[in-house]
Amino acid sequence: MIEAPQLPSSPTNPPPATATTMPWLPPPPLISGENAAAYDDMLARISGTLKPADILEEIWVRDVVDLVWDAFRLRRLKAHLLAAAAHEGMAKLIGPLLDWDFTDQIARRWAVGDEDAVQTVEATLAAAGLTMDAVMARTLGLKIHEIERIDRMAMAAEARRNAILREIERHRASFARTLRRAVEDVEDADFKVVAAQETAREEAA
Amino acid sequence: MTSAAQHEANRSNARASTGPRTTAGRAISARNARRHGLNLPVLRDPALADEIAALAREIAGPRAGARRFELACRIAAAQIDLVRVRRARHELFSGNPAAIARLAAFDRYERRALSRRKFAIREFDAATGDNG
Repeated sequence: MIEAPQLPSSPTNPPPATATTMPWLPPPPLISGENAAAYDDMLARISGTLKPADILEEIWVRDVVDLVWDAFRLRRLKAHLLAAAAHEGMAKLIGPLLDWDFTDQIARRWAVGDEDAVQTVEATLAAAGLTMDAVMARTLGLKIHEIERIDRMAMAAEARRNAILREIERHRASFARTLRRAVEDVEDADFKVVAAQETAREEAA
Repeated sequence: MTSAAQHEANRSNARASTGPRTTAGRAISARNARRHGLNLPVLRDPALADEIAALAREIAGPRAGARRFELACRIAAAQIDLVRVRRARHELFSGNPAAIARLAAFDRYERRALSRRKFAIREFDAATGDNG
């Protein structure tokens, strides 16, 4: 078996970013069923783009990655919530069209793919001129409070991500100003030394 | 309206039950109202003091003066607080993904820690610029 060469770390070859962690970084925000490799990949890609220059920027990069991950997850959960509750919307929709006593049962059997129930539901919807959009609209109506809450959380995560990106820009501008001043100080010092040396040479001549 | 006998019985019963008496029992009942402990300032938790100091040293650098280290400590305390909030939120959510309603309650703690960290970093950067 051939092993991949172990490259030493250097400024041009930094170690790959991973979700492992210092005590001052939060644990990777993974929940059951989420792909740790996908999270590590996102962390590596965002780290590669932002190239954190100090520990504060490393902390911010983790924040940005975690907030992007959170927002993705919330949007995914919203879709799953609607899909999981579709039978409730279906029951409410076909209730007035069928015998109420059997509506819940038919909707649940439809949700698990029971062929008879699927045929009954499709025929009922077709007779009423309805489609699956109507089912999902009814489901959305039933779950609107949860959906709104998830949307607010996703928007909050995105707003925090944007605020952190602005802070990185501000921090880098501040660092650049400090660096420029330091370089100017060094240049001024060099100029004075050279000028002093030239004056001494002229006097000696 | 309670009769005199009932009143006396109530007082007698109350005197008989004065809560936990052992140290362990008192320690448990002291946490009865505790939900997540996130209201407790991070600096009051001795277990986190070492983490704050270690992070502050990383931020301030090896030759930092007292002022720079103090400003770094403020960033570190806010960051450790933020980690504490996110860890608590993660534990709740990974144990029960349906707990979305309760997750929103963690929001204000996270917002508060983020805000403290932001202003601490701005002050640190300003001081670094002044000294640079």
